Amino acid sequence: MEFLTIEHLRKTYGKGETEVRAINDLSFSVPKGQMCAIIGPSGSGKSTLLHILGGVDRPTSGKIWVDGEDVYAKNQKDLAVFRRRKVGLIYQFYNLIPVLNAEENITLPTVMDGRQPDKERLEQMLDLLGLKKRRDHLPSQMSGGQQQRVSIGRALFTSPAVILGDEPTGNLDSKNTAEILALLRESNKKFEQTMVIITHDDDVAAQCDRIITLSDGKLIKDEMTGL
Amino acid sequence: MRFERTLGMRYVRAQKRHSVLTVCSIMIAVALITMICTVYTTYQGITRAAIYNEAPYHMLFEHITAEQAAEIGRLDEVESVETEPNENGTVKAMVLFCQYLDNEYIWAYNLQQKMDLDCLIKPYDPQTFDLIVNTKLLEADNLCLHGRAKLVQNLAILLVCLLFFVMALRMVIDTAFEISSKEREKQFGILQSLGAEPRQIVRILSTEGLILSVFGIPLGLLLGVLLSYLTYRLVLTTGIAQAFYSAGDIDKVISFHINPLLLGLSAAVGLVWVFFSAYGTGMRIIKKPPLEAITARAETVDKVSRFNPLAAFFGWKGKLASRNAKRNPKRFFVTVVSLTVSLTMFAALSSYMGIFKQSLLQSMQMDETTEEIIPYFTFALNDGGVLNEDNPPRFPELIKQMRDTGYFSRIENSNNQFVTITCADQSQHENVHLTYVNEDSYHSLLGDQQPFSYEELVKRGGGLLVNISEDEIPADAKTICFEEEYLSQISEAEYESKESDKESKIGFLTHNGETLYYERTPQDYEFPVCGRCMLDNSEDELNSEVSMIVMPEERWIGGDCYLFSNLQRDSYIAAFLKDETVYEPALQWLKAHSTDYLFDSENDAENPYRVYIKMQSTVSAINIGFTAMMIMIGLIAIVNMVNIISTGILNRKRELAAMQCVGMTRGQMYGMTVIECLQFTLWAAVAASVLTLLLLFLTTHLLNIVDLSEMKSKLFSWTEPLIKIWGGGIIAFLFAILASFLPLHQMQKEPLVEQIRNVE
Ligand SMILES: Nc1ncnc2c1ncn2[C@@H]1O[C@H](COP(=O)(O)OP(=O)(O)O)[C@@H](O)[C@H]1O
Ligand SMILES: [Mg+2]
Repeated sequence: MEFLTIEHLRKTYGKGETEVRAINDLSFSVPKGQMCAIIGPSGSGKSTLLHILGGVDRPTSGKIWVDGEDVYAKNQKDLAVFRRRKVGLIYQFYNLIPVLNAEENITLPTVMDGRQPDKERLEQMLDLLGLKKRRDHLPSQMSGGQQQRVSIGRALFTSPAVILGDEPTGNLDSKNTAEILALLRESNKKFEQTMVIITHDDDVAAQCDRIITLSDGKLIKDEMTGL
Repeated sequence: MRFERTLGMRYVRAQKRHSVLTVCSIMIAVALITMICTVYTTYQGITRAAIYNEAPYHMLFEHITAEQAAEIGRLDEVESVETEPNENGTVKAMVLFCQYLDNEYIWAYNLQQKMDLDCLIKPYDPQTFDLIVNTKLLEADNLCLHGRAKLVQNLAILLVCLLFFVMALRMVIDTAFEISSKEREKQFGILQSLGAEPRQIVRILSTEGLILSVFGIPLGLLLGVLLSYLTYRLVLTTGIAQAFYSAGDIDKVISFHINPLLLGLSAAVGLVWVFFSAYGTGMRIIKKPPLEAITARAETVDKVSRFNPLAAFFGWKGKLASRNAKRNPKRFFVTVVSLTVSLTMFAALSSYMGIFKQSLLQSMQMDETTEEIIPYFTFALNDGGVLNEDNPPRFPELIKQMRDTGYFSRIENSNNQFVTITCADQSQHENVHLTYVNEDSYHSLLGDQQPFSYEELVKRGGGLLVNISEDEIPADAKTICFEEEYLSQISEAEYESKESDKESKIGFLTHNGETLYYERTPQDYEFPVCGRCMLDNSEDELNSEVSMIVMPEERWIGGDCYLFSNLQRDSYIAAFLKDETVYEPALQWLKAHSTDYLFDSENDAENPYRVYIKMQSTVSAINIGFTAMMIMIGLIAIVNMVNIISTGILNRKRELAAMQCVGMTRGQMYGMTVIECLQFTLWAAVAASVLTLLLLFLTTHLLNIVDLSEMKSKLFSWTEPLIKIWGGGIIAFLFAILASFLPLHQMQKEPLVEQIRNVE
């Protein structure tokens, strides 16, 4: 059962001589519950792909289907609802809200959805992320690793059907990396979440179900790890 | 709603600089609208008070009974009735209304029907009519239809005046919101990527707007009222109140008025603009895909042109400066436009003011350059009917008496006779004035171009040729000869007997109600020539064109007065007052001797000194009001500029730090900023110059179409607005430098690593 489908996706930046084809006719799909790693050299279009999947960018052409819905056929409001209910996006550079503390950052998507955040789940999440002592800290008062963990918490907190991570462990040491990966795996199993994780770390890639290799915006290798 | 409020409040608190500047923008915008409204209310209030002061009632019943007055007082629409007893037992009732009457005359008619007041139906006769309707007060209080129509008209004018400012102010508030930093846009991008809906983004911005308005609007109202009160006090120091009202009336009439309704309007306008701006900014932000806002690649340069004038002048610093302008063309454009608008408003308005003032002064007998008033009485002196040896000219004695009063600085007397001279080439020259002048007249006629003194003229026996060329009368001529007609008085019977004779040259004229009959007989004349001069006086066109033969008064008295006629002759006298203190006595003196004087009725109307003081104080009051407005315009420009520039600098914080990391010195950085400021002030000054000249040109053209021919020649000076614009440009430039140096200086306090760190 395909949960996430990409059809002839293209994304170009600029025009004429300076045109960059960040994604060039890319098609593949991910079934529900699969944890998929995306690797490839820098500038190969990984981040672009992830952003388009998350509904924060616009494809030049092609279609994205998530859970049977055409993502970019939605109007602005529905797209916003899609972003906060269906997707959890972990950015390479965290993108936290500087005026909100760790706890508030994590619960923001829920609050924006007009719901009360589950206190118990919040405690659990803070505990898992090792942020109990930092819950009242603003992003500017935290280290890069801590900020990264807050952004992961924010993505996981609503238990969305899709988790997208742009080098979520890029700023973490190996011990932390292992912990976070375990956390992602657990969430993946528990909520049957579909995950697409960009990484440079071979160990991280090896722990996923499938590894897709991109180069110049094209899929050049697609293998199952057999986990 | 809760999280939007939290976020809005946190953003307001987190971005102090931005918040303060936005509050300032809102404050100034509201203050300016408040000021205009307060000026309007105060003007209206004073006008109303002046009307009330003159007649403190809406209707006055001169003769009604006390019972009738009491009955009128019981009517719903009547607020109060004040009575004063008359001698015949009736009362005088002054009625004030508190309700709208629609048509006051119909109301009075109905009242008459109801109460049997016979006074009201008599046909209008100022002697017997007993009802006085104070239409002006009814209008001022908006109690009659006409008053309402006037109110609508006044409000329309006020709105048109406001509209211009309201638009300009919209721009200020908009800029404050719109020119938010890249960092802010990024924030909204992230929120969107986390699933915030467009209306949630708009709500956050609206919350921010509301919080800022809570501070900005009351402060603006306060500042507006304060500034208008200050302006009002300053205006009063010009003595305008004393010029228009007597000491006793000033207290009753002159006061400062505030209309809560209009204050509410100002606040509402401010609030609406803030919400519009918040909404507009929100809409702009959500139009972009969130990623674009997050990565903020917007501020890059697409194309770089080879030739760069700034680079040619300032090297690499100039190059960087001009590219920085191009990376956010919108911001550059807004900066230039807002400065251009301010400079143009400043220059064009002061040019218009100049013209307005000039025409005010021109309408007075006032020297434009010294703004000094020289009033004078012009009148014709009837020199006593038929002049002959029994009845010699009397004016010398009267002028002597006038001089002896000491009221006059100058008494000009001249007697004119049109003559036709024959030129050297035998052609005839029309319209030569044979002018007999006294010393004062001689000076005012020839000014500093007189070839010799008046005494010399008397000594030589007269005959100074003015504006008569050698073609007309040769240089060596000792005398001029011409033929003129002599008017001799004849009796009525003689006139009637000769009336049928077509050959005879008879006529009559009336003088002082008396008909004088005369007969013309041709006669030859010979006059001496003692000198000549050509007047070259472009200022006084009249004198420079008219050909004259100037004779001393002494010759007139000595017998020339009998030359052309023995009919009555009028001397034209212009008596210039010594100073303002003698105005009344001089007038009285002249009136007392009025059997011989015909007053120029125009100048008899009002003491020109009082008119002058009214004009003067009006002009100064306008000057003060104008200055206050200019200060506001300046404030707007400054707030806008500081806002835009400092944001521009702070947005590039990391980049500037990076440049310093690769070896840019602080001096070089400041230098680059100065060039950036220079760049847009230059653009703005050029644009404002073109715009202002265009405006003035169009105005001149328009005025020419409606034909103000006298003013045409000296309408606008073209250099003055340019000087103002470039002067204003330099001030703007200095403020721009200040606006960029302050944030730079603030930044320098942090270590470079801090500056270069991802600012979150
Ligand atoms: N906003 C943008 N404007 C222009 N080019 C872009 C933009 N974003 C990405 N690119 C280009 O698209 C290509 C893919 O970028 P990206 O997806 O970030 O690569 P990766 O994440 O694999 O390193 C790169 O060549 C990059 O220069
Ligand atoms: Mg990337």
